[in-house]
Amino acid sequence: MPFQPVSRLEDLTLFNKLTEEEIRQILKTARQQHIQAGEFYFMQDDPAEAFYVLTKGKVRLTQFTADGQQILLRIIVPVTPFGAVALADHETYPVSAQAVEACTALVWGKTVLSQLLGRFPQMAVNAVKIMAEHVQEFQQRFTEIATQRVERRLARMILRLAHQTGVKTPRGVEVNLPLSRQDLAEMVGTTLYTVSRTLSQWESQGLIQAGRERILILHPHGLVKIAEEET
Amino acid sequence: MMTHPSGLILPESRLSDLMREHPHTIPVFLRHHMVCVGCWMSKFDTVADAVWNYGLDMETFLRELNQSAQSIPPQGTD
Repeated sequence: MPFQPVSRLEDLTLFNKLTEEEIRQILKTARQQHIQAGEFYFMQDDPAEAFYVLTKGKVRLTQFTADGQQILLRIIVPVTPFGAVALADHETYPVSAQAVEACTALVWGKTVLSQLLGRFPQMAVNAVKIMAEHVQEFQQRFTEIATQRVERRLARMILRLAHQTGVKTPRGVEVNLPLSRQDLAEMVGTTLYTVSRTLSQWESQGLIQAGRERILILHPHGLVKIAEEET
Repeated sequence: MMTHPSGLILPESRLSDLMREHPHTIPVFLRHHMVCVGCWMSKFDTVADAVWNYGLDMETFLRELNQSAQSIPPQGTD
């Protein structure tokens, strides 16, 4: 599953098929970068000069459209890589990465990265896998926007977020992310009004409980049924 | 929650663990037209949740799962 956070650094796709000793050596070459809420790891269109793995906090990946609208593409939680485009040459970042709260990330600069890729060619293979996973997820989301009703897209987005970061509680599956209704609207390509109306409807049906920046899925299967509905 | 040490699948067995460890139970889900296979929620839901969601009979469903699982040795859990 693309963008699935892992609990241990060693489990990252980036380190597939590398030995513990090799992973240790790679981790040793990283530096730690702490930033405060509101600060940026990088801005859209900056040269992609570093690759990051978030180890603490939450990061928003956003993109500005040509008419100046800011669109939220993803929330990064530990432990997940971002800025993977730096693993390829001559690229700029397609998104901005802004800290939602105090964050810590491991950072590998371009020079260190190219040395590492030379020394551990398996890392390059793993990087391709990471990028293929990203492409796959965005293709899937694009297809959803082009073909599915809003309710279905929103249900799929909430289930995707639950799968990636949800926690099972006695009352249901909790998605605890700094996501406003406007953020959700941007992520599924609809309006704030439609998201609010749909969430309220699901709340009255007992499917979810939508708090501020928190969604509790009370009846996961009910949401799955909406997500799986044929168009 | 995984399967019982005896290899028995229980109501509280987690669906994602079950399908990973005993992939031969997957046809049972498909036969009942259940969307559990590949579902984003399968790591949160148990066999009991699935039975409740689809209005199945627990005893019959567990028997079907256990028969499928026991016909084939369990897979590694990596």
